[in-house]
Amino acid sequence: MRIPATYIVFRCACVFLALLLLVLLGFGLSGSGPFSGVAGLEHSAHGWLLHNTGVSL
Amino acid sequence: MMRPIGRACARGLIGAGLVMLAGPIAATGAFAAAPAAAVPVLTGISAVHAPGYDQVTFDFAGRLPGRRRVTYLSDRAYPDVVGGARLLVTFARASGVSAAGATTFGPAQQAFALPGVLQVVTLADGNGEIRLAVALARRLPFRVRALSHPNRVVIDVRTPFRTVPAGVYFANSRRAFGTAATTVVTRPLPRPATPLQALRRLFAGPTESELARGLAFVSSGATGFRMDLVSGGANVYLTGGCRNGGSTVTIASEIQPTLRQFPSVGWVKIYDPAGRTQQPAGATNSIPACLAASAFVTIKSQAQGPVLLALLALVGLGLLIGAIVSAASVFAGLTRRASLITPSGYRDERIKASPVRTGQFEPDLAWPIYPLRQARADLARIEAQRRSLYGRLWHWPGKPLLWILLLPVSAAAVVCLVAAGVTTVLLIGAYALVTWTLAALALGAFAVARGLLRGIESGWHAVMKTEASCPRCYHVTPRPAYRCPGCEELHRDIRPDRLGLTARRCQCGALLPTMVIRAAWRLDARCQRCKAALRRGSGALRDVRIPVFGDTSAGKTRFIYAGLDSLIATAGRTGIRFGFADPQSQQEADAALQILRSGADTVKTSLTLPTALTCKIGRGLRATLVHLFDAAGENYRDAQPQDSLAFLAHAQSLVYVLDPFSIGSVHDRLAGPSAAADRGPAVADDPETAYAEVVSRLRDSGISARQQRLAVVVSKTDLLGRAGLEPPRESAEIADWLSRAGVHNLVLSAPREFAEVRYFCVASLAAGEQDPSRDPGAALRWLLGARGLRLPGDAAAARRPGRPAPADRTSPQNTESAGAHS
Repeated sequence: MRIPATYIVFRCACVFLALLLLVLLGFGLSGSGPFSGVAGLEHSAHGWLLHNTGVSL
Repeated sequence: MMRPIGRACARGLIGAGLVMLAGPIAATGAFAAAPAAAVPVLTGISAVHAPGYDQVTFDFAGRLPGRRRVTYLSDRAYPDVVGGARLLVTFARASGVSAAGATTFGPAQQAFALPGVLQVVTLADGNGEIRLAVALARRLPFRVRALSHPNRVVIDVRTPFRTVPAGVYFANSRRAFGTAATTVVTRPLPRPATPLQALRRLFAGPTESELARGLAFVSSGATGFRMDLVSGGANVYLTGGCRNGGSTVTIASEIQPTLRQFPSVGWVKIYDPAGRTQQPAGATNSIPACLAASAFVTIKSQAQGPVLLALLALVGLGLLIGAIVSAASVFAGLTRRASLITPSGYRDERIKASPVRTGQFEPDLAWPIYPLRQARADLARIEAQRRSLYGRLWHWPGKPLLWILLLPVSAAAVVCLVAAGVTTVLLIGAYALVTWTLAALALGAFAVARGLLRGIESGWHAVMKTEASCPRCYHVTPRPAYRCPGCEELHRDIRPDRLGLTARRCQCGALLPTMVIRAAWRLDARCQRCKAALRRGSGALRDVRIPVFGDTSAGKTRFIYAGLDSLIATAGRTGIRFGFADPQSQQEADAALQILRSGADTVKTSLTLPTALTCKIGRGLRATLVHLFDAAGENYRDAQPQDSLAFLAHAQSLVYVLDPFSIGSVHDRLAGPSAAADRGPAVADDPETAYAEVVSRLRDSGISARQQRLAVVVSKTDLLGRAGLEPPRESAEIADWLSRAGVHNLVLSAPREFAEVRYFCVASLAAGEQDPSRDPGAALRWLLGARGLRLPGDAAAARRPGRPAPADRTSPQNTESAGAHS
């Protein structure tokens, strides 16, 4: 059964964008990219871990 | 007192050696400013101890700042910079920020384990100026020097005192598990060492090397302190804030051992910024409630250490497994095990959601657009795959008793799998978020484009008055059905919709264009009701339906072909393209026109229901399909077949053909053997009978004729002329003539029954043989003009008897020649 090409385009676009989102979040955790704001969250998490457990990642 | 550094340099030249200034010194303008160029960048701050002084060095890239100012701060300025005295260092123009926005000279607060210098704190960096505070153990003499190779500014702070080592306790992140939460480091304090000096060192924080060893100053929100030494103990008042952060390691863990190393401090009471502590009275240690850890936190802290590290490792492994499971789920859900919403499946869903009612058709068999349905199916399949794959991870080999015995291993596996499960949920959730967002955006754009395209098509239909009429069953719809060229499946609604915006994919895989104005030229149009083939361009072109009715032998067929012959001649003269829309129409017209042009009588029309004779006038999208219906006169007498004459109901215009020889007065006047021979076959009934029955049937069917035009055509005028009767040419005169001849009922009722009525006296002859004033094409042109198709009339026909020919015979006002207004 021949499925429409738009199905493949949409699926590839979704996978690509999801991966891009994850990569950008990864960059954001390191303090760069459009999601650099999450670095603050990471810092808070590190601080919480350090204060509560003494573990420094 | 402020002294320019230039004066100090002069003293140095005289031989004073190092010039040490006891008091505030301004070092402004000590060196000539470099010419305007790139702003100097502060690249590093360092401090070392040399015999007799501490040296703080500020390294610069490029030239040195033009303005360098070093002065003591007042005691009240910047209270958060803890020290016995604070130097304010100002560089301008200078910058400590790189092009990427990062600081170029290290952290904003740097501590030093030196006798005189405690820390350097960045106060401001911007607008071409850097301001820093250098915290000192006490107010000490200093000097400022600008050096080159490399370019740097050096502050030498004299330390004219002996020191003694004292301990300062910092939190140690690497020794936190079940052991001491703090680690002691030493600081050289001026002799005699005091608790206040030690506490200042604590607030100054660990040095860079100590930070690298995992030491940290846990401030618990405090930004400064005030301390009172009382008999046997110390009261420390925190400023700024106070919170334990859910931890057992707080600032109290650092303050208390740091102070209690001094013999004079037997106890330490720490107060929050509001001046409260848990045990204000008595010679005992006390902390404020904000630093007291809850029981949960206390217990939790006891269980930390290697266990937590192991947990973190397991969580990391779980993350990896979760990522693999998520990727496998997406891959399988979109490819190998994809759940396809097929055209038939989607149609079944739509029928189930909205059952097909009488008069409706089932939805077409084509693939729906992805965001509308398949996206949901894909997400559901991916989720099912995720559950399946993740569920398999919980199927462990062996008997449950084995895993109970191996409890640590099974517990670790559970932790790992839980982390993997959370990871799969988050990753698949991210994919779902992206898919839904993309689908929502696509559907939004789709809705806008769909409305636009449908608006274009509706506008086209309204402006061009397009319709699709079936030549066989006479059914008229706004748009036809189209047959798929691949599987011959009928697509009944080709408009841009959920099956496709500009094109749709049939279940067989064939790609079909949407919109009637596109599909009309590429696909095989079919009647929505009887599935008969429609004319090419149906639904996209202006559609005019003209039934010709009248009694038997009234001359309907001959009128049609004579009228067509006239239109063909008119089109040929004016360069308008004229043709027949289908081979059958072409064939019938050719045969009939040949008979007409030969002067012979046309064949009696069959009693079967007529198929429309369709001609196409014009080019491209501006062409018009004209359907002419010719039914035998017998059909208008019998009530039963007349119900099947639906073309009458769907007609915008009608032609009633009246045989003048059927009028009693005319018949009587021309009575005689020779006249009877000349007049040919005559009708056998009253000429008003067919008209009255047709109108009666139309009204009984609920069809309003007020929107229809009627052309009353008196045929056979050539025979009348041969018999010595010359009927009038103008419409009003014809009506009057008919009324006087006894057809007054028709003349009186027709204007009430129809929107507009005109009378024509025609001679149904070939185009070359016609008297232009008897042109049968005039009636057709008048009716076509009402539907927006203007055809220039015959110039000769426009001339009235006895009148000169107008100068411009092609103007619309002069196009219709045979009739006048009713």
